[in-house]
Amino acid sequence: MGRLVLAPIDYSILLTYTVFVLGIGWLLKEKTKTSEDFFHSGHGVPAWIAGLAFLSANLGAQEVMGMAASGAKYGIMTSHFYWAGAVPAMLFVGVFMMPFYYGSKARSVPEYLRLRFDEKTRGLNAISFAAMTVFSSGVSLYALGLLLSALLGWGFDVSILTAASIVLVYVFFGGLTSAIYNEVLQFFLIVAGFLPLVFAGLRDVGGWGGLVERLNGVAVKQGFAAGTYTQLWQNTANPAANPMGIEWFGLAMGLGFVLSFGYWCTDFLVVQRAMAAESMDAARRTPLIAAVPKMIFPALVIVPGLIAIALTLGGNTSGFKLPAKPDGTLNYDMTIPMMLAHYFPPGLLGLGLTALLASFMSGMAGNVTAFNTVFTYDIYGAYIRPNAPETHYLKVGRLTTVAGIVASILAAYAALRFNNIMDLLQLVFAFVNAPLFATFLLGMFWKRATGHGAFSGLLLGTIAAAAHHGVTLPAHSVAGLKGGWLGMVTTYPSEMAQNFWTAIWAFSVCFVATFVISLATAPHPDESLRGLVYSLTDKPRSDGRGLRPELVAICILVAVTALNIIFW
Amino acid sequence: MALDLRIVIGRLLLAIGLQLVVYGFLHDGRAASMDIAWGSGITLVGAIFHLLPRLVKTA
Repeated sequence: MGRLVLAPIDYSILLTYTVFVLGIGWLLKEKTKTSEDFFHSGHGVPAWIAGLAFLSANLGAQEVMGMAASGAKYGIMTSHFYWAGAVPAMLFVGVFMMPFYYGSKARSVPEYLRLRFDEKTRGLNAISFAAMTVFSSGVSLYALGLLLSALLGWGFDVSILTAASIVLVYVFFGGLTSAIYNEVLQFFLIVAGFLPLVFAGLRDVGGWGGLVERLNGVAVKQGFAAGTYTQLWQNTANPAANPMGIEWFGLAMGLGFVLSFGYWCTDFLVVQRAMAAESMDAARRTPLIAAVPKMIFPALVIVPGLIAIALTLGGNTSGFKLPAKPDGTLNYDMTIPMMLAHYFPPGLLGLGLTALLASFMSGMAGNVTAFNTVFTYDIYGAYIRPNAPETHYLKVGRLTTVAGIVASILAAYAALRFNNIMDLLQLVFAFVNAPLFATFLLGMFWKRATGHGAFSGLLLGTIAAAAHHGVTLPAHSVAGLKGGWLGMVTTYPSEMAQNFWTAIWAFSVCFVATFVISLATAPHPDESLRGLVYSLTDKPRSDGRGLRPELVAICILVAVTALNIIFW
Repeated sequence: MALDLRIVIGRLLLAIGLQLVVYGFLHDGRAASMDIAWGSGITLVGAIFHLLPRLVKTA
């Protein structure tokens, strides 16, 4: 594809955003005096800010560009990530799990595991999470460098060093507050930058009706039933009948339950935003507030993918076409950049690019803030220097921020030499997050679960995920990173189907192993579990301001069910 | 919170929206009118956010 040429107005908008981001870090420097301020925003974040940050921490550019790419590849079934996965999981964490996270006064998810189970379970989770966040932040940086060099011709080194320096400045000075502020700004930039794109694209295809008509034609051309690209569940009885290559059970259990709940309920990167809220009620409302825009987001990030594939394969007069890869297949990852280039004039183009850059940087900052908290409290404070003065941990937190950024840059350069690192990252997430959800589910809702059970369950769940990956392979793939390295037994129609079933195996083995080993080991006394387990904890009382979280959750559940039915 | 985020959001949107509007007025064609239309919307939302703390206090 040809490179974009930016006008001075585009650079001016990019510069405006950069000045705001750095300004926020600078202004917050004076207000960030304690480790409590640096790692937890002084527990003073209002629910609406924590809610938007909770949503945006997951809205990195890889997510934004990846969802549009999946929209183009799989159609509206990509919305399952939102309407069957994220939204129900957010309601669950807000209503049922947040009282334990917030009420236990744990400073991090690994620390909750120490309080509920034991030190070894915390250590295992802290180390795997810290490694994952640095890795993830590095991959984000790598993707930013690739995008900027492909789109604008900027050098890879200059791109990643500039972005990393900006993130370093604002997280170093302002800590979590700075990251949260920038995540909220990023949310508004994404809405402002992508809404015009959806309008322009829809106008091009003749509105929603025209889009559906074109997609019906595309589906028939690909050998599917006419409505396949615009229906969520209707073609899931048989994996061969939909482009995702998955049947309803794998979808509902693998994505809807295990992977989504595993991510939204246990990943400290998002949970940290809710734990920084100003009160228990605010913490419970945080995921519920996030669930409302999350429900609507497919219109902003998936519809552009639908428009792109409808125009590319359904024919158009405006000249839009997705580029092809060297092997002749469509390059879906370029959906958003290509649409920005095609529809936006100078000015709006700068805004769209700023929104993408903001996503990259806030995604990275989210990982860095989660990393510095877990490293400082759960690794340094637990094993290297416990009981140090509070100011010492603030200093360590800032130094860890620098170390995290440097490690991310190194990971980005490592990614440059290893072209399958994105696949590896997804795999590591499936291996770590899926069994962790089983551990939390049993830990929070079954008082008989023990530390030995949790630790063994986590290890066995991860081993089960690896074993499943080793004996399965997606269709048309060769044995190696994609699976089959233990000798192939089963072939899945798609990589996504393989991922969902890997997660189901990891969860199930962890659940059963934790259950059996817990029964075989000595239980924790009830007294030590108060405030940590559902049956031994007083139900949280609402502060009386606004609607009760349970009622809000029911309303959102009704709305998301309605969306599933409308697009059935 | 250390800074009123509503004002920060308001000022950022105002700064971006006004740039789009001014750029649109200085140029011709459909592209310029797109900048003016969306720039005006962004400016309006920015102004609302900027004034929100005062409006809420007054109410």
